[in-house]
Amino acid sequence: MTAPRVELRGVGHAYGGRVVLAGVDRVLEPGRALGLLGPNGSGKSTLLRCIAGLLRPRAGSVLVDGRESCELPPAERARVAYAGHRPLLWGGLSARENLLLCAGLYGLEPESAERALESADLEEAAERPAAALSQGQRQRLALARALLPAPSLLVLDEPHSGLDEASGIRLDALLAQARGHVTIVLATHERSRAERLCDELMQLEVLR
Amino acid sequence: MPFARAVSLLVRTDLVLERRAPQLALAMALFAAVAQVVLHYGADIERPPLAVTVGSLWVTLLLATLLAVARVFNAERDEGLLDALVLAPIPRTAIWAAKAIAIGALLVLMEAVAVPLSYLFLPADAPVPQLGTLLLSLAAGDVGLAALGSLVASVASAVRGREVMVPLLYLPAAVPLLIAALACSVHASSGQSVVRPLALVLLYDAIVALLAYAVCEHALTD
Amino acid sequence: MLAAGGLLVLSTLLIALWVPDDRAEGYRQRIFYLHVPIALTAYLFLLVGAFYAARYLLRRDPLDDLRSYVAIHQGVILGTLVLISGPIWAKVSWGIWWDWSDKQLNTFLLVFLFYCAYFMLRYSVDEGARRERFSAIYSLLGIGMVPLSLAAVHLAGTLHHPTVFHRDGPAMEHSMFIAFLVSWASFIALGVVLWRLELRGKLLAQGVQRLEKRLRGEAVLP
Repeated sequence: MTAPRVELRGVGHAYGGRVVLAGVDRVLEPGRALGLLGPNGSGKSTLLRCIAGLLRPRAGSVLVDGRESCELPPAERARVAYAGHRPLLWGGLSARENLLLCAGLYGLEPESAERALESADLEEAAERPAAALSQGQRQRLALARALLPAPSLLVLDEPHSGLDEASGIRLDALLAQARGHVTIVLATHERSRAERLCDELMQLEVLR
Repeated sequence: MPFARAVSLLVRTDLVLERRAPQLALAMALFAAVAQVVLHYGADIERPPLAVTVGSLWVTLLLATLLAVARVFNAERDEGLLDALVLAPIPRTAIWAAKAIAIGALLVLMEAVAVPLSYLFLPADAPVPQLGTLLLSLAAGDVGLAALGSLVASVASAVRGREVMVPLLYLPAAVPLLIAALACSVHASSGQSVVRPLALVLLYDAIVALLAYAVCEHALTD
Repeated sequence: MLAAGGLLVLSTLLIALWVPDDRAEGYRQRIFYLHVPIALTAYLFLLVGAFYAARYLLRRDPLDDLRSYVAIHQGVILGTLVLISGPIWAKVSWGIWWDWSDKQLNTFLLVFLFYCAYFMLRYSVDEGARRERFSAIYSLLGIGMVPLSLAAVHLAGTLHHPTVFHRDGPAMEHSMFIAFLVSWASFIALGVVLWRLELRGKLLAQGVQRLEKRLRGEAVLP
């Protein structure tokens, strides 16, 4: 799957009466990595959800290869991976079962789940329920789940939070490897990390 | 991914989770028993007419279904798992359908407790509902209740005060089904044809299922 | 507004002075010329609400949501009048306030309760797209409930409420039918006027809110 082009055209959103995003315009060429910076409440998570197709913006549009992100057909949706604040894991299923479920939903071979388990260094914890894993393990599992379908658009909301140093370095290496082949939008509080991992930066501010 | 395969995968996941922590099934079965006792004392009729017996059973089922409807989308909403399902390359209607099947399965389990109990609790000289017609109306009605329940659950799980909203949204919509299903048993016991009331139950199922199928994606996605 | 006013005046004059007394019920039957047109107009507004709800889900234009909401609001207000005038008529004509075998009124009660829950649902969600979507879904479910409720209530009891409109036509004198039509037209016109007024009022209020925000230097979406 080729990396998609992402266009933000006048994107705006509000919760209740409070506007969190207004007039966001950006074009992200295929294979480029965009770092989103900004304080809490600046709309980073909202913008990421709009890009991932989980939220229809109240104003403007988010286009992925020319199509509205929240109207992508199922085959196109398989290209998009999202890892947000919540790990998107079934707590009552084991680590292995979570990955197998994801493989099933994406029409992948069960072996891909085993490989993902290995690369996330979770073989020892494979049979433990996701709810019983440590925060770091859950975050690694969540990322492994997100990356399992080999997406071409990666939308990551503070993916390093909860990771230990070794896991953080591993993730950085993975992102560096993907750069150029995968379009990445990454939100982080760490400016230095964003400058290292991304081709472009976008600063969001809290709107009154 | 084809609709049927997606539904099958999601239903299997829900069954696994419920089997490991069977709270909902047990709660509904216990509720069914408790409600029958409460209704018996509340009605306080020595020899209940058939309509009261069957009506009490249906009221029990409707109230117990509320437990399922209030809980069935909780994990998906509270833990953000709905994001994972919405992002997946599956028809989003499969999410609604899988939950409808889950509610339907819970209904059947609960009826396996409630129906024998309702016969057990009948006084010796009270009119006995025809079992065949009763089971037929339950089977037909379960489809509509499950379809409605899944739609209401997908909406109510995302609003404030969901425990209050579930009965308010579900019960008024379920009343036409209650009336039609009750009429099946009453007509059968008085020798009348059950075709008309059963046709209404099936019409209810069709209209509710079609409507729910058409709009469920709007309930599940932002 | 003038046309609505004119029709209302004409309707009042026709009902009070022109139509003959009903042979069975006498002068008190004239509440029919208010009760039934109000009920039919209420149903009409609920249908309009469902139309704009469907349009909202297709186009996602917040104005369609507002049109839908206001139409349903009108429908529920008119529905309240139906549920007040109905028991009054029943008490005056048959000596009881509420008859559970009265098909039309009981159907109306079911539908009314359903749409009351619409408002509960709407205001349990914060203002925004989710409120609009959930309201639209519930409105469409509601309009599906109308024929089902009617059919179910028909099944439930024997007729007590006088049936005036049959398949072969209205069972009333020509002059009565004219007065009925004029009354109905006047309530539709009144409903449309109130709908437009409420819609305009809400749009103005929204506009004022946006201006206030702009003056305070707050961000506003287009």
